[in-house]
Amino acid sequence: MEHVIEIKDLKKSFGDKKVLNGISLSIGKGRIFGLLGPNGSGKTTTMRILSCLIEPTSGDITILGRQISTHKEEIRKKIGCVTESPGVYDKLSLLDNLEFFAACYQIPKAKRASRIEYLLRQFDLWDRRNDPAGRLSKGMKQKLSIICAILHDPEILFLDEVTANLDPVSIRKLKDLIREWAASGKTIIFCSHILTEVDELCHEFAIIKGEVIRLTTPQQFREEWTTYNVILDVGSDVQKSEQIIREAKEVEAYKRSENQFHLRVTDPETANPQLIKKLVAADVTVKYITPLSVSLEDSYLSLLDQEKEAI
Amino acid sequence: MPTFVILREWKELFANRSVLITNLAAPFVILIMALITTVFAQNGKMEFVLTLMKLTNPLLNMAGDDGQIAIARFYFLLFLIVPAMIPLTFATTSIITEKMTGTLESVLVTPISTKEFLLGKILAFALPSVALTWVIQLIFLGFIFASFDNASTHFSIVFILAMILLVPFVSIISLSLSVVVSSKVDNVAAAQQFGALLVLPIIGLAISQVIFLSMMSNPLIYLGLVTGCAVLALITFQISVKLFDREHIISKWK
Repeated sequence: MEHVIEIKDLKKSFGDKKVLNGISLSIGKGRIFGLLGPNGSGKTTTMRILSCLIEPTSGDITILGRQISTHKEEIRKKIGCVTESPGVYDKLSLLDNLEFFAACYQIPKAKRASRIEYLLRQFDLWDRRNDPAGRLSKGMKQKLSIICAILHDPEILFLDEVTANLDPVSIRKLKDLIREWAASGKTIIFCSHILTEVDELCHEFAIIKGEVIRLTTPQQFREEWTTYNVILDVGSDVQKSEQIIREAKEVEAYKRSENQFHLRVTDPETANPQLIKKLVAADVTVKYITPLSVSLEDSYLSLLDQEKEAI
Repeated sequence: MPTFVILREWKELFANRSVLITNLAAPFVILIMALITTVFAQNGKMEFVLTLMKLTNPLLNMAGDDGQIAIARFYFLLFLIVPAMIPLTFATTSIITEKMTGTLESVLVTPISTKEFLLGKILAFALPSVALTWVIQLIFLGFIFASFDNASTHFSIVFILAMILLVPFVSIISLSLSVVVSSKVDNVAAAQQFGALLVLPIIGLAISQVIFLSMMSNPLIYLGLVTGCAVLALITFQISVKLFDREHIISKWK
């Protein structure tokens, strides 16, 4: 896979305060990459360094094959960045805002009007084009700041908490757009506290806390943190059932609570029917057996708890 | 030339009419003050006003025989406060507000260079204030030449040209320094308080017209003053670009 972002041993300190202690990552073209971490973990600092806003203390960063230390201006032409707060000029109309950012991104004058109209229509803001940005709702302002960041059709897009002010319909629409952008070969760095969004959107993600503490995919991460993946209710036949479960080779681990068993089985699709067969053969009444779903959020919180304990 | 930055600043200025009108009115207040004082001094009428002025500013007593013309020169130089102070208010507010509202971060992530961005900002505020100062300078000059027979003796071509040429340089110096200060402090009031210090050399220069009237007629002094200010304007602009600390502005300001 072609890597569009390569980070090696990135360190950043503000005075005596170390924020990043050596982050190394490679992000592939056309990927949606999540950046997770608790408050103060260095997500925004990483984003700011990658979007050429601030300098790293040390480390090598290559973006689109160019060293960030020596090719900032070239890199800036090919990236877009949406920050936490919509950075648009309240006193200016939507069109004036976009004209200004189009000029900043050096978009040829002949192409500006059509590009601006296309994006305003895509984000349902065309009818408000002459209104001052200050009169827009928070969500609309966020949309405007997204448009400002993608005016020049960037190859890499940094999105920091972009869905924070959007309504559910706009969030759905934006998610679809993000997937479309990725499908067309753009790389998205997605920073969010909403883990369901990361779960839905990201191909892979990194959890950082000054350094990368986990680099994985949502699926792998959930599996890794799934202690029990099946729940079994056997009514009153608990004693008999426990003996069968203990001896069943499909069951890797189990925990009993009243009439229920939490099981970890190798593959629920094949293991569950076999287990039911064994239980039924022993005259156990199986009330229900169902997969136990673990969310990314549960897994993430478990990891952070473990990290805290380690400290 | 970053015209798009200039145009954007002007659009924002015009959208903020109350602040704009208040600031634009100030130079005309100075002009009216200058005209009234000079009229009183010229006609010898309403002596009490002159006496009052001399009481509040004893330096005016030292003007000697050419008192009226010294007062006129004092005010003519005092007009330099306009290109120093008016744009400074706008520039400091503009830079600090941009950080507070997050627009600065959105702009700095684009390919626009610091030099381009700051040049656009400085010109956006310098151009109107320079034009405004030239207008009030010309009105005042028209009045002086219409009222004083010996005006050309004390308002030589060199002196007038020097005062006119100093306007853009004073404006650029003031704005460049305001950029430096705005990138270091985190609120508008602190930036503007520091900016007020810029007025002191101008007042000093104006007072020198009264104290050292005969010496200040030397054209070489004005040639040196204009050249010095031109060089200083260039240096302060370069310094403002160098000291515009993106990292400090983006990371430390909240």
